[in-house]
Amino acid sequence: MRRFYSFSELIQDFDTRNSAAFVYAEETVEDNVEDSSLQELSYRDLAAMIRERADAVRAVGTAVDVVPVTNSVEAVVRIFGDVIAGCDVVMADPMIPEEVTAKVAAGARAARGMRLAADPDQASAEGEVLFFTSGTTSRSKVVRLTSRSLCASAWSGQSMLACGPEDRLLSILPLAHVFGFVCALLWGLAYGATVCLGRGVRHLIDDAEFFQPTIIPAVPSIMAALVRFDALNPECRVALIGAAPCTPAVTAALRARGIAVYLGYGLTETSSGVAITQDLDEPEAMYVCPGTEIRVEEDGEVSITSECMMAGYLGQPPVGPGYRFYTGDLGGFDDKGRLRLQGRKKDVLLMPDGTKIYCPEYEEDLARISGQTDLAVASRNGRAVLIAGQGSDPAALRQAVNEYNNSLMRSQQIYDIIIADGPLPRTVTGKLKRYELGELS
Amino acid sequence: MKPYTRDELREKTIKLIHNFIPELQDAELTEESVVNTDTNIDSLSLIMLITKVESTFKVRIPRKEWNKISTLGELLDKVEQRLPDVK
Repeated sequence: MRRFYSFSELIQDFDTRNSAAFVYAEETVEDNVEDSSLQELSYRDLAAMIRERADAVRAVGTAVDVVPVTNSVEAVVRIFGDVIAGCDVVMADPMIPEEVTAKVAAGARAARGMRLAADPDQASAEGEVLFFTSGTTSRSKVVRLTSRSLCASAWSGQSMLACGPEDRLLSILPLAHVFGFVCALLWGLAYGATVCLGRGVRHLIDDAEFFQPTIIPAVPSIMAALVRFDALNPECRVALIGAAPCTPAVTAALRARGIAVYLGYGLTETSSGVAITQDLDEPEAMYVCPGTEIRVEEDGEVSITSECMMAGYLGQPPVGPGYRFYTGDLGGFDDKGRLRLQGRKKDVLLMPDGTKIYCPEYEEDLARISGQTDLAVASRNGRAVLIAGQGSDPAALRQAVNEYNNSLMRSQQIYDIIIADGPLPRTVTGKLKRYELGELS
Repeated sequence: MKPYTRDELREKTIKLIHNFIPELQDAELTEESVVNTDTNIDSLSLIMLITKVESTFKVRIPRKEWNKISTLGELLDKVEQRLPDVK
């Protein structure tokens, strides 16, 4: 199995292939899938387009490019072309406000200037790929990944779950997030699969029928919807689920259809997956990928060192070799040495579509808007709810929640308000005892 | 003149919701029903519902506006604004 160390090496390999890199079609409003005509792009033509883009970027000398990342040939060509030309790429989800991406771009230019001043040889290196860690919240961090760490992630994934030229990989995950970029694009391109570029959010459910993929990477909420609407095609042999915990009911339903279920564990900071299912009867028990070492600390927190590790957060000092990342996830190893995740340690909720909610931020904002102070955000059945202490004003809370929801992505919105029978549980210093919130509803 | 009156829009949309989301079959929905806290429609179901509404009424609501739909009435507003005039 060939291992690539940069995007340039990978693009060179495209020239040796005769198969299709992409199949794609235009998004339509109509339900009728016949309205979309399927188009194909070969690996060789893709390589040529990427080189042409790289030449153009070199000619202009672009240092940082904010790419509105859609699941399109144009976006993919721009990302790869920019990186091999030495330009840093900000992976901008089209839903992120422009003022946020502009601020990140300014930070990226400053960071690049400092990087080149410290090591002028970096000027000829490939550009970095900058990912937002989650959602559109003001506190989300930007993670610096390199083509080397991303290619290492694709290779380690391939070591555990192989794809090849006979496969059609459905790409419906947002490519602006690292799980989508690696598992629904780069992995397939690196190992010769044909990537089926999804036709957009309006076709999430009918894209499987339309493209007839053999592998579907998805977050739990999308996979649950595919199961619920009986939208999985008979050719599908593998479901790769990541970014958030998946319910046993969904994995059981997939297995009942003869689909092998692989659950992956990883973070933006580790360039996507670092552990994955191998025993198909127990998908939730995951084996550590090659190139990664996972440790469970005394308090149960999962920590990671990996050759897929980030270069650092934008605006913060770079991480060095052997850097250990403390994930905030709780887990343990079973008697077969398999990683089993057990929840979150930090004040972060992980939603079924892979996005994260930083609870203190919500609580501060909602307290400010509503004038109520005894508040907590928690998760119930995969949705965020607001819990308020006894005596809180329900009407003020309801108005505040409706107003606040307007500023949030749908999956990060508050879905219910619960008034507790007493004050919320707190320590003597006033800090919320989040682990006791579960008993209040 | 629009191809649908407001009453027709509301009636058709509520019917779509009842058919599309079995859990809401018996729910009494009004234009004031808040999508999250009253109907509890999850984010993906809402996306699919908007898609169904778009294809039913042959309109396209820009994605950036999807997150701002709080009530059923606001969804109807966005559809109504985009309906073509008919003679």
